[in-house]
Amino acid sequence: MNNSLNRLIDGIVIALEREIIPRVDDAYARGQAFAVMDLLRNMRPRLQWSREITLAQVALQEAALGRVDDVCRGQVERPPAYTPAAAPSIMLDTTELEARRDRLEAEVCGVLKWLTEHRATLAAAVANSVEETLTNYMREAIKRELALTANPLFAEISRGANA
Amino acid sequence: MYQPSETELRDRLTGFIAKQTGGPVTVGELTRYSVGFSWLTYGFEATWEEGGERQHRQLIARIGPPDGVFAPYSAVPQFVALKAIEHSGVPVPRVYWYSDSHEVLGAPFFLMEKVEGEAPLPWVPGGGAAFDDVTRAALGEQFVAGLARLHSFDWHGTPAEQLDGARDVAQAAAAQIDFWERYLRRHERQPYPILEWGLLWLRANSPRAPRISVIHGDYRIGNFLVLEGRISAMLDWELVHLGDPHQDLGWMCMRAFRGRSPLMCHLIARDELYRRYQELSGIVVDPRAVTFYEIFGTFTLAVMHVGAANCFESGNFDDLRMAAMGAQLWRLLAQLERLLSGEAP
Repeated sequence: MNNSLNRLIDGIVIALEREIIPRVDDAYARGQAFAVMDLLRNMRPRLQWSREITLAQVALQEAALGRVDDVCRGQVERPPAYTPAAAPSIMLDTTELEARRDRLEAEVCGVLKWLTEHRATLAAAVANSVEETLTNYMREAIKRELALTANPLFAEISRGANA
Repeated sequence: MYQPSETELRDRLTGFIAKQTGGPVTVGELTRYSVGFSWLTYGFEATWEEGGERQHRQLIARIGPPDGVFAPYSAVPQFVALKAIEHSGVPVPRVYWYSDSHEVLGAPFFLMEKVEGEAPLPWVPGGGAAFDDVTRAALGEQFVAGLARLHSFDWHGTPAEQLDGARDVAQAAAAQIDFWERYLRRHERQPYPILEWGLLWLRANSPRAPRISVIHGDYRIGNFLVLEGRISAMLDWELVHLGDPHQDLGWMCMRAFRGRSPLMCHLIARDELYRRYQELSGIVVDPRAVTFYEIFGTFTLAVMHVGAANCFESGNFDDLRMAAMGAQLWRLLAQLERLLSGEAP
C-alpha cells in the first residue's frame, strides 16, 4: 500500500462523516455508517501494516543486493557499496523496518543507475548478471504486491454506480 | 481542504459572471459531477444580458483545488488551448471566461459550455467489447480525425502559443521527461526502482519529434462525450502542451485504456489507427516513437498514482479516490516492467 494505515482510516472516517452520511436518506443505513466510523476509530490504535510482508520484501532486497555484490567482486568498476545491516530485520520495530526497506530500495535504484552509466565498460557477463538479478527482484516484488491488490473499482468510482 | 459551500460558490460565480457581462446574472443550483480525479466539476444554468439580448446557457465550472493531484493549478493552458482550436474541427466545448486569482472562487477555474453526451469508460465489465461494431467504427473514425486535426493545427500566432512545452523537435521528449521527473520527486515518499529504471530507459531512448504540435496529453476513451453515436466533445485538457504528436498516439494505445481488447481505446486496431491518422494529418507515424511514448505514458500514469497517494497522505486533500488510485500503483508498475523488458505493447 502507498498510504499509511492511520491516514487511510482517518480519511475513511472523514468521508463517511462529511460526504456519505449527510447524503444517506435511510436512518438504518446512516446508523450502519456511524457504526463503521465507531469501529474504525477503535481499530485504529490496534492496527498496523503487516510486518511479515515488509520483512519478506527486505529479505528479497538483501538477497538481490548481496548477489550483485558477489557478481561484481574483483571488477574494476563496482556498484555503490552494499553493506549488509548488522541487526537482523526481525529485531526492528515497524518504523525502523520500513526505513530499512526504503533505504534498500534506494540502493537498488543506485545500482540501476550505476549499471546504466557503466554498462559499456563492464564485461557483458557481469552486466547481464546484474541486470538479471535486479529484474528478477523487481518482478518478484511486483508479483507479491499484485497478489495483495484487489481489482480496481475505477468504473464504479467514476460513475458513482455499479458498473 | 478546498470545500466551499454550494451557496458560497453560486454567489461567487454570480458575481464573477456579472462582472464579465456587465449586467445582472442569474445562476441556478449547482450539480457536482463525480467525473475527473483532478479538477472539480460543477454544472449550472446561467442567464444574463449581452448586447441587449438575453443569454441562457448551461455551463460547467472546472475548478483546480489547491491540494489536488496536479496542484498548483492554472486555468490558462486549458483556456487558451480550447480558445485556439475552437474552430479547428476538433470537437471541444466553447470556453467563456477564466481566472487564476484565488480571490474569486478560492482556486483557479474556467467556465465552459455544457456539452450533452455520455462518457464511455475504459473499464468494461467482463472485459467485453465497449461498443457495437457500427458505433465503434463511427467513433473510431471521429476519434482519429479529431487527433489528426489537433496535431496538424498551426498554433503559431494563436493563443496556444502561450502553452508550455517544447519548441525544439530534438527536445520534445526530454522536456516531458523532465516535467514528470520533477513531479515524481515532489510526490514520492519512498523510492520505486521500476520508476527509476523507466526514467533511465526513457532518457536513453528519446526520439526526435517530426514536428511540434498541440498535444492533448490525455486523449483517450473516458475523456470524450458521445451523443447519438457521435463524439460531441473532447474533454479534460489539463495536460495540454506543445510537443511530439506521437505522445498522444502512444497514450491512446496504452494497455490501461483498452484492457484485454486488441483495439486502441476499444475503438480502432493499431495498424488502422496509424494508417488513418497518417492519411488525415499528413504526419508520418514512426511506430518506434509510438512505442516509446507508450512506455513513457505508462511511466507517467504510474507517477500520477504516486502523486495521488501523496496528495491524500499529506492530509490536505481528503478525496478517497486519490488513495484508491494509489492502491493500484503496482498494476502500472507491472505494465511498465513488462514494457521495459521488451514485451510487445
